Amino acid sequence: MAAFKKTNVKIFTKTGPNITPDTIYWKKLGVPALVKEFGSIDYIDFSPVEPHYFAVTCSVRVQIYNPITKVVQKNLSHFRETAYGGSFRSDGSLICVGGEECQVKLFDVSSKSLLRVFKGHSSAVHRCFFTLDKTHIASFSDDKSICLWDIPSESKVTSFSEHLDYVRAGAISPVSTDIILSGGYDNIVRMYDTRINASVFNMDHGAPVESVLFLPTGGVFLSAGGTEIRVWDAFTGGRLLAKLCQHHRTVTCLCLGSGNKRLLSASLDRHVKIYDISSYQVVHTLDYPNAVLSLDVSTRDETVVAGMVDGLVSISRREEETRPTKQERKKVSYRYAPDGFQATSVDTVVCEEKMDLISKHDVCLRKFQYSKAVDCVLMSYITNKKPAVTVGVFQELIRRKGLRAALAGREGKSLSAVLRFLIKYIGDYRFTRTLIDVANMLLDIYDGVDHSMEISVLLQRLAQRLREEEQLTEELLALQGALQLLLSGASVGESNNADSMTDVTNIQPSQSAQSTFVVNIT
Amino acid sequence: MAGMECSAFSEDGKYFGCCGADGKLKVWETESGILSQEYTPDLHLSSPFTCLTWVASRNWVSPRKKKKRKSAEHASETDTVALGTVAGNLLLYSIASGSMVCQLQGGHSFAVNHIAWSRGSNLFSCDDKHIVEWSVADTSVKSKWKVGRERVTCLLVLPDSNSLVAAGCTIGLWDIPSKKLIRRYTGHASEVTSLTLIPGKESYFLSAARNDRLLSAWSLSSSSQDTNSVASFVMEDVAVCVSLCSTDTTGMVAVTRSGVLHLYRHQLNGKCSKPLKPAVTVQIASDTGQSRDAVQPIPILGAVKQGPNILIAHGSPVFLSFESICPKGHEKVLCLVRQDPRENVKSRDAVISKVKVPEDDDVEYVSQTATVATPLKRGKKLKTDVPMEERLDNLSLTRQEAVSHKPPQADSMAHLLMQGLHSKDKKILQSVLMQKDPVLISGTVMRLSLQCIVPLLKELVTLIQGKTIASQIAVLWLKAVIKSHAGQLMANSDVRDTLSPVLGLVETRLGLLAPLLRLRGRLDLLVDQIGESSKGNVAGDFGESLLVFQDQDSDEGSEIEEIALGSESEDHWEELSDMDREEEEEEEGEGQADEVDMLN
Repeated sequence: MAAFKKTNVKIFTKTGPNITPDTIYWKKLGVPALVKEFGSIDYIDFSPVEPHYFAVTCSVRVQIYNPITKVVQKNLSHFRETAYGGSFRSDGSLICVGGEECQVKLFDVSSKSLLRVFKGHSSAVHRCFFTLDKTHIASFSDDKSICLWDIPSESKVTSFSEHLDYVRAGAISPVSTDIILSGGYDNIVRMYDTRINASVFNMDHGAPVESVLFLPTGGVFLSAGGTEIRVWDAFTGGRLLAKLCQHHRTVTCLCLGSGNKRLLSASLDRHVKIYDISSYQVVHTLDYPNAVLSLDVSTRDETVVAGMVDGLVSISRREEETRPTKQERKKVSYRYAPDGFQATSVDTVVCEEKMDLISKHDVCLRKFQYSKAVDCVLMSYITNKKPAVTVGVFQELIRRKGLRAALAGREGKSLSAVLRFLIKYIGDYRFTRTLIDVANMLLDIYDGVDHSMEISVLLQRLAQRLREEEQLTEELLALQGALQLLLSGASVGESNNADSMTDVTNIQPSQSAQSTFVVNIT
Repeated sequence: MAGMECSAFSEDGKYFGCCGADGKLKVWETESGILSQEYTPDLHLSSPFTCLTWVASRNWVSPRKKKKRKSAEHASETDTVALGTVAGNLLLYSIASGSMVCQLQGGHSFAVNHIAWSRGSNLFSCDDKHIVEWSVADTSVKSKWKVGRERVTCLLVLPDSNSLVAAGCTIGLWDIPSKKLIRRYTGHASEVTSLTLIPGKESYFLSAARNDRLLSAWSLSSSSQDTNSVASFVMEDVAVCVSLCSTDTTGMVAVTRSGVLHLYRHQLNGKCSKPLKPAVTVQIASDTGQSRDAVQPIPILGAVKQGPNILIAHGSPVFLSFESICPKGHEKVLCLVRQDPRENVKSRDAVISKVKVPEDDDVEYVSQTATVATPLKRGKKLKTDVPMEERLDNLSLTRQEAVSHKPPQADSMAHLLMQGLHSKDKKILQSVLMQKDPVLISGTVMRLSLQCIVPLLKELVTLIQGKTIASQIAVLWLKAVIKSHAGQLMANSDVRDTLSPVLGLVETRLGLLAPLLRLRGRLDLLVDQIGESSKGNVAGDFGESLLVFQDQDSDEGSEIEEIALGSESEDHWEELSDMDREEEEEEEGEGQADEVDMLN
């Protein structure tokens, strides 16, 4: 009786998005923990130092969370009105916060004490950042101005009021202490230099700017506003490099991740898009339950925190990579085998001996027929297809000190063949060194000989080739200079980040800070 | 449905209208052979056209309709096509304005079978049962009457505007004011498809019927009360189109369904019992030149007699050609060889496109001969027709010279480069990257999108490691890239890895520079010597021998002298070469010292 024929089930390939290394990488973020806060989440900032606490600014307080336990570690609540834009200093010890109170407040993170209050704005301050030298704070306010404050003296250094509308976005250059970038609701992004106390150039973004961001080398910066992100080149005076239109509602926040190789943009359309910095192509998308207002990523992408309009903070942490333990191989037990037992196979395999093919030039070399060997490798097939063989033979002849013998006594055609080979390949940097020796030897031998017309023409061509090579090397050296500048510029950002934090600040609270006293009754 | 297709020439032969099975009205200009207008009405699929008649519209233009017919103020008549639809509506399409001018509704409840019009009369149309007289001026039905039991398939309005011939299987002559049947003619077995008036003193009319290879002529004169046909004309196949000329009545043309044109030269005068045979039969064939046996016939679709000439339309409804022929002589069968219209459709497209560009003000023909010959003769004198290429060559475009010698624009180069990088097409990349002009390079690089920079960089890094020329060009490109995209390159941390081979290459080359320069110095010296010796050989007999003895220090002159005099002597050569070598070594030593200085 025939066996029962099973039902044929067709398995179709699943259609879906391509799985790229990026998707796999970002999928490793675990299930987000949701924390409910009061009011919408205005700003999230990670501390640059271990253990990478993050400050969440919402309503009238700044909460400092522990990313591992996901609970509030510290709570800064010296605010009468809504606080905005709490950001850490690069050493993680200080935090500056703006707010509806038209002031910028400076806190010590560890003691939670209020150290400085910078007064002078006439309207709410939405963003404030420490400058690169750590002793100044730049603040961006709704009174259309940008102020630079000195921390020790608690005084205003300078201010710029070139915007025509609220300034809601700002950034500090990661390479220069004097460059400030601001984006306003008048659609303009302005770059300021504090040394000349004026804006250097400005760019039209085309929509109210919500966020601006410098890439770590300071040569490129991005502005987000409307549904667009625009990429600008700072070196060429604000040339528009690219427009990224991946969101369908307003983009609210920009930040960098994956060791500054990825750009993340959060939007009101509930998505966070991740772009590759080199190509500005979207590589992954994260989805959130509500419109995302603020976003930050810790170093090495361990934690991604997003703040939403309804006060939810979504904290997703990268899961520890659990390495699958290797399956131990089952050992064969010989316990019950008799003494002297050897597990060998019975058959002996006899390897087939293959004739080693020796090429023609090697045969000649073995017989010390150097001249003939050179003739062999100067065949047009070898010189065209495998110049490395010819060069190898020359090399071997030099080693055997037989080059002179091999090259001597040539005239007419065979000499011109050598010269042609030299002309053709002396420019190839892999062969140049050997071929220079060959050429020198050739000149030694044929120096005093009366050359035919053809040979002299070939010699002239060789000289011409060498001149070209020389020129090229000069150009390459010039290029090397440019490249070195570029690469050293690229390493500026990295070295700054690795700056040791020697100056542990010991700032005493100022008078105005002591006089400000807020009691929160909860 | 073959019955769907209807076509007709306008009265003056300027236009040829055709309604195909696709429900579109196409109007060709016969002079140029161009499809000048195409009109797709609403509902052209649900209620396609059934019949088509050309109307000269001045007669019934009222002042109120000025807006609809602008040409009303001019005395000239405008050509209008009256179209009947399956739904029973009549559409009037004006050629001048290229649009529908008015729609006549409410007359018929069935498909319109035929529309008839005569100069000075109203428009008449018939469906299966009724004849409707239209007042076009106020787009209303003037009168409507029932014909009888028979279907009415064809109408003919007589020039006196008082009587009308309506035909089904039998033909009836009607008095329009009283709507009464005056006469009845019998003789056709099937339904009449076309009625044509033969102008003249004694009025006759012709009728062609479906499935009937005979055209019948009938007398209209009231004296004879004969109900039978006066004469009949034999055809090869069923008639599609019958035409006569009002001024020249010596001939009558009929086009058959098989695409053959018959010309009859019979003057009707009284009864003629025998069927008349055509005087000339015209056929058109295409000479494919492939074989002598298989000749592709080209059907004639319509014809209109214009005096002694006959304007014919041949080809297919898609590729129509027009031609004016004048058959003379006494051959009974005339076969014209024409090119297959499908083959020269390409050049025709070009003609159309040229016509459609009205703003070519600065285009002028260089030579007068290049201008298009009068297009009416176009078909007949195909050889005089100037090919499109020649015409284009003759166009004096003012910027032509400048454009042709310019290098490719940076804009298109950037596009090309992006495509090349995207598809990794070697050919494209090579064509772009082998440009040497620095301005062009920087322009191209400037226009590149950000996505292309990294692939371009990789391409250049491989190129720079290649041969000397490629390397030189790659250096130019790399410089341009660094200049215009420094910020982006710095931001990208992978660039260091990408560029490291270049740095390594530079280091290698730098190490080779010193031996290379030494070799070059040596070679230069040798080459100079060769050049000098050859110069000495050539210019040996210049009178420098006097100087030789005066100048004690330099022995160069004597060398030249020696070479010039005794180049055969081996001994001399040996000496000379020894001296040369010494000298060379000295110089080489100096050169090396110089180099060392430079390097230090």
